[in-house]
Amino acid sequence: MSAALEVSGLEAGYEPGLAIVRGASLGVAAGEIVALLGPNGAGKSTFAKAVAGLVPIFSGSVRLAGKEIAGTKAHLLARAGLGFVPQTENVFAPLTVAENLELAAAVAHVKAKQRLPELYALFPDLAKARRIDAGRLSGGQRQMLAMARALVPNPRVLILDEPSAGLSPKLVEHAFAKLTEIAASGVAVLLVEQNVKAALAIAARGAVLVEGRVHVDAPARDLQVPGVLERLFFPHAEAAAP
Amino acid sequence: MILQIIADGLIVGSTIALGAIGLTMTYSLLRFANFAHGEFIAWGAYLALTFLGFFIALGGGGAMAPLGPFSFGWQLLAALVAGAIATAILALVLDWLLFDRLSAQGSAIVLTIASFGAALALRNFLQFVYGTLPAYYTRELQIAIHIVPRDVGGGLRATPDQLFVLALALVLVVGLHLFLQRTTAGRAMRAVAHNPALARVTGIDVASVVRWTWILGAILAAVAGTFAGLVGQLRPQIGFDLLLPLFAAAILGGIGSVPGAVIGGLIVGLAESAAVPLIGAEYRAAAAFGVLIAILLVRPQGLFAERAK
Amino acid sequence: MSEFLPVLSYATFFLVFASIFATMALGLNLQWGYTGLFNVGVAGFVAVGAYASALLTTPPDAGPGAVRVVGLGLPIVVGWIGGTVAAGLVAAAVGFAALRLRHDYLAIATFGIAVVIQLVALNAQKLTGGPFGIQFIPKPFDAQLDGSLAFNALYLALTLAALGCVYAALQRLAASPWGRVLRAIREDETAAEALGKRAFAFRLQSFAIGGAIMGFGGALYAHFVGYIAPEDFLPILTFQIWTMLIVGGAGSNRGAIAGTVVVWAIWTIAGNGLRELIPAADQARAASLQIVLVGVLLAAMLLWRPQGLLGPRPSKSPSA
Ligand SMILES: Nc1ncnc2c1ncn2[C@@H]1O[C@H](COP(=O)(O)OP(=O)(O)OP(=O)(O)O)[C@@H](O)[C@H]1O
Ligand SMILES: [Mg+2]
Repeated sequence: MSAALEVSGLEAGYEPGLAIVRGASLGVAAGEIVALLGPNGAGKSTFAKAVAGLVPIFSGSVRLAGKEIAGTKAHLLARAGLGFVPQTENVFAPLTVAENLELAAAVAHVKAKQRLPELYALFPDLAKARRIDAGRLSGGQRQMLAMARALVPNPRVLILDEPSAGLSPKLVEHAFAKLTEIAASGVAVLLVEQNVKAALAIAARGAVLVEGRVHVDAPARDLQVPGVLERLFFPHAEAAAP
Repeated sequence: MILQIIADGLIVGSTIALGAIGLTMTYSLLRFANFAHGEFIAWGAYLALTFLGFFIALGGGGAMAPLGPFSFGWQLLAALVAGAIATAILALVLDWLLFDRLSAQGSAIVLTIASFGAALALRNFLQFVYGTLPAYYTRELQIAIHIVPRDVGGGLRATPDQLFVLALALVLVVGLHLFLQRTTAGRAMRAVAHNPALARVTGIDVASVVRWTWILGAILAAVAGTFAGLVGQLRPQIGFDLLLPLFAAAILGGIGSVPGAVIGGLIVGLAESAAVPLIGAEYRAAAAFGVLIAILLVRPQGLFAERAK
Repeated sequence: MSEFLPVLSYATFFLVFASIFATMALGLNLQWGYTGLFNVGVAGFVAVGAYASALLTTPPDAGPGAVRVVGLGLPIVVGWIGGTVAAGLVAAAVGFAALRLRHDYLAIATFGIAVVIQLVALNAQKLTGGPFGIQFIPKPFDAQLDGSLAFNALYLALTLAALGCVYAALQRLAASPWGRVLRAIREDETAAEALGKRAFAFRLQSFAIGGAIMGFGGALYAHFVGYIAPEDFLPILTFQIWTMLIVGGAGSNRGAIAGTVVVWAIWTIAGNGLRELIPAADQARAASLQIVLVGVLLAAMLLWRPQGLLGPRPSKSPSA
């Protein structure tokens, strides 16, 4: 079976000749959650943004349901079934909750009348807040809206950049439960996370990105062994130690 | 007296408001202060003059038969539309030649420099084409009507043309507000203004939204220019003279806020007309600068900033 | 020999203007090239310097029909110093209002101050002579010299010396710790934020000094031409100085000077060429076309060679 998202040998960066992601490969199957972990500055966000079409790709291939998408414009990717939730500023603050979702539906040619109630059912908190400006939502509600917005066009793949950042443990639990639900409906979920424990708890597999390359791609439970990740995150630490 | 000052301020202010709306929209979407916006106003006014001549010739030449109490006939309305379309094309060409290429290179401030250069080039090219003498759409004389008799607040008089300008400005502003609030295209514009990257991953074609913003801004500028020419006269500096009031209005209202630009425009217009009895007609243009400095010192984010985080 | 005199005279005339413009361009380079401050009101600061110096040195109009009633008749050196200081003070005031804010607000505020200065020059007739301007501004050593060539040559020596002093001072400033902080502020927003209030002080100093240099340029201009009027300080002047700096290369003092010579030469040649080509009746239009031409030059430069002829290689876009 071909994966919903298949990245191989990806090189990407902000300025020409300055690759931040340097030959990373990763696959996510439909219905699967894969956690992308790694130390600060490893290039996780850059990887996610490159796949979403926000950062220039220098070489390598990105396939969405078997179709090559490297170099495709971000707005076309969004309409073609790739949902992306940025880490910060991931809602349109001056628009209301409903307007955020209606806008996403309209540009993707999805019937809002049908789709919005489904999303409100998934995120009941949003249903209550639908007339409120997104800028005035709480952190948890805002994250829900960001997810819902990305889900509007029924994407095959959902990429989230640190959705747990800034949320209380209880809200993280709530959000990740939603992710499990979303994956169960057949969406391939790529979860970029710092919160390793929470991410591996819901992920099937974990991949570790260090200095722009994926060093390990293993079943989540193999990574949950104490000490394993530390060694993977900082491969030079032992060599540097006296 | 006081009523008349307010009325004059509102009429000038409605022109400033129309111009400021376009300015604030391009400012918040493209993220640079476009000094060439004033030249869209001037070009819009003069292009309308050219089309007016064309439509009058089309209708058999001679004088334009006035519509009802107004000083102009249908030809001016047609010229207004044609001039606005031509100005929109001018803005798109300028974007394609200059701003789009420069914004691909990065820095917003370089765009501002370029717009300053483009403004001078456009203004002088206009002068080259049309000359420097004042021009008029119509020589028809207008008699001001008494709206409020003299014994109430000093009385209030306005010409039908002035009332037309005020009414059409109001219609445009309300229409634009509804467009931005209710339609997908309008919401997409607000979304891009707020966060272009998020707009792209939401599926919005940012390049197309930018083009539509240029079109809208240029149309409103052309209408503002035609209005200014209708209630006053056409001069090549018509856009340059409006630039400072436009910036003052846009910043006063909060960059990106259309209602803010309207209210800012009216306030600047009122300040200008109140300045006449206070500091003299020759310093009228300094009123906008006073408003600008006051807002920069007291509330630089403007009265109604939309960029709430 | 005598047929060379007009050429020589014209050459000195050209060079005097070039060195005055170069002085202004150096002021702008301090503001924009070194500090990333965007000034759209160059003409305003130049005007303040020119008018202040003229008012300090020129006696009021005489006779019953006198328009201008202010004027001190002090030595020219006092005028130059006064013009420099006055422009610096105006720059400091504008900077104080706008420098804490987004960088493009400074652009708008400086645009505004130039408009207001133009208004004052036009309308405060008792002070500025209104549209008639100030005439009979004293020229240095005018009494001792006969003939315009001698005066032009002497003034050229003066302006070159002035330009040399400003250049040397700016080179030293740029290499000093103060100059390094300026560049750090320009290139690195985080460094600027870390400096907080001090970053504002640095910007304000740079902006005021740059404005003062422009004012000095204005004073040099006033005492060379001997006659100033509001139309000498229109936005086109701002635009010329900007084009000179961009063509030469923002961030490089030598670039600013080279750009001045190149653009001033293009400007002069284009002006003469258009005057030849276009019939006398349309001369006013020819002047417009000259400006369009330089506008296109600026845009082309920004598009294809943003670092200018001699500018430093772009490390990062200034104040992105
Ligand atoms: N907009 C940008 N322009 C240039 N370089 C950038 C940009 N954003 C990030 N970088 C650089 O790319 C590198 C990787 O950053 P990235 O944000 O991808 O790391 P990350 O793994 O997501 O880190 P974190 O865990 O802190 O989110 C860093 O060195 C960073 O400085
Ligand atoms: Mg990150």
